[in-house]
Amino acid sequence: MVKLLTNLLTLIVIAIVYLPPTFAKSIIVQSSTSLKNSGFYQHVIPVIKNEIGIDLHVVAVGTGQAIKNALNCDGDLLITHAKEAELAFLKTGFGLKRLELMYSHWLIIGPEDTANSLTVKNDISDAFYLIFSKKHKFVSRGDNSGTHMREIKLWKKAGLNPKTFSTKWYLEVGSGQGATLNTSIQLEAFTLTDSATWFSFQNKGNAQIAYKDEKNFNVYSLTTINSKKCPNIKLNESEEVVDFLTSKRGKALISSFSINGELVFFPL
Amino acid sequence: MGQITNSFLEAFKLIFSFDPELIEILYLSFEITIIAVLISSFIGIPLGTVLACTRFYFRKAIISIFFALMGLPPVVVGLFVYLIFSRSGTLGWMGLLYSPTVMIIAQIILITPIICCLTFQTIESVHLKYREFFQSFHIGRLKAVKAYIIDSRFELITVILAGFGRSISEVGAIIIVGGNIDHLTRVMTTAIALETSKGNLSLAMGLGIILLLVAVFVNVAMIFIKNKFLNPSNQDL
Repeated sequence: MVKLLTNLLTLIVIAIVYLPPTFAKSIIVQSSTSLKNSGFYQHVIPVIKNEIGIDLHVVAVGTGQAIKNALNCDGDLLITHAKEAELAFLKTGFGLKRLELMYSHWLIIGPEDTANSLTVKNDISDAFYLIFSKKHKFVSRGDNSGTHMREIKLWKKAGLNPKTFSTKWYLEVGSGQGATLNTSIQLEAFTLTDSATWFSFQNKGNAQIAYKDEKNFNVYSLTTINSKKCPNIKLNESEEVVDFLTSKRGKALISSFSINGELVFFPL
Repeated sequence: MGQITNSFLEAFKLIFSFDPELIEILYLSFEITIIAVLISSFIGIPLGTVLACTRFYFRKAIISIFFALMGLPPVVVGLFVYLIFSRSGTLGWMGLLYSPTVMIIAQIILITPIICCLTFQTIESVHLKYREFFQSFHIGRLKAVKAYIIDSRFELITVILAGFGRSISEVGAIIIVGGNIDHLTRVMTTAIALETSKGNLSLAMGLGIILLLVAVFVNVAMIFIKNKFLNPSNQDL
């Protein structure tokens, strides 16, 4: 019995001391899912590691969740794409500095046969109005992510309130971008997404780009976190990463990223 | 049909490519699961045995709670562990969030009730059968418990395998506390979730098939050990 207990204690000690081999310097990045799913980080992380010796540990959740996690001090850097939410985060005092990094495009994805019906519209909110008036099936993220916040904003711009929509055609799935696209394609519905996610998505089925927003872009920004609010934050390292990404070299790195030959991110 | 055939092809391609990334992910999956199952067994088996062989106040209540905990939704456990180990949480100073250690902790919370309850059930049935026998011969409680455990070692292996099965296939809790970070906290199940969200369905299924194959291997190995070394017909007690 004593032997059993000592074994147990040893195991617990091993489990607690047990740490994986990590890079000397690393930061935790709370990020939007689209950047991870598109393979963007696989493109930039090795270069950042090489040039400034910092490894990025990316936790990909929706923008809303990323900001919440940062409010719990569980990230050293935010890379998100919802301006209002980022500004609100700065106002709480947890955010230190916000820098716009790059943009991609907003897309409406729809089934093959109806995709072209939206392209004539002048503004993406007109396309949204058309979906509403035809009561065409629409799949919403419903997860408070950057894309979801954008979608709500576009409905409002079209003079509509998505809370009043019938669940017969407006479906809130409360899932990540990938799951939402999988659902939307199976239901032959419309959905809002960003170009990086769409170009790298493998399960497109018959779905097509129904509308590409050429006026308002999907802007990703970097937000550092205030070390006065979160004393454990690795502020120096995250500032180094921000400096690198916004440098000439970093911008060149961002604009050299392509998916199947298509450039997706454009530095600001 | 095409998708499923593709995923089998994808699985075989992956297995025979000996992709170092795949090996890393598989290794981490098993490391986390095995450590979690070991610790849970060290907690759950004695606890289940004590609950089965003793009588005390609130015993029934405790048993009911443990049985209810068997159905804990992993996401809830993930959130609970996240809130504790978040840098703003009680144990945030340990800096363990987004590490394999915290994934092990979440797994322990999930599988200890399973191991405890199944042990309880196994040992209790033996206890009810032999209690009077041992009492009439004035055999001490500790000795009796030892006999119960030796007698039901077969079932206890199955109990541990049940914990293993739950742990290796778990995704909801560990994706929250581990964060699915590449080369750090990515395991088979979270990799499958990621590939699904990329729309890479055949690769996701391929990974699932590999996970299944390895799990089958572990189970077969345990059954082999059971039959070879623990079978009563091979061995005198």
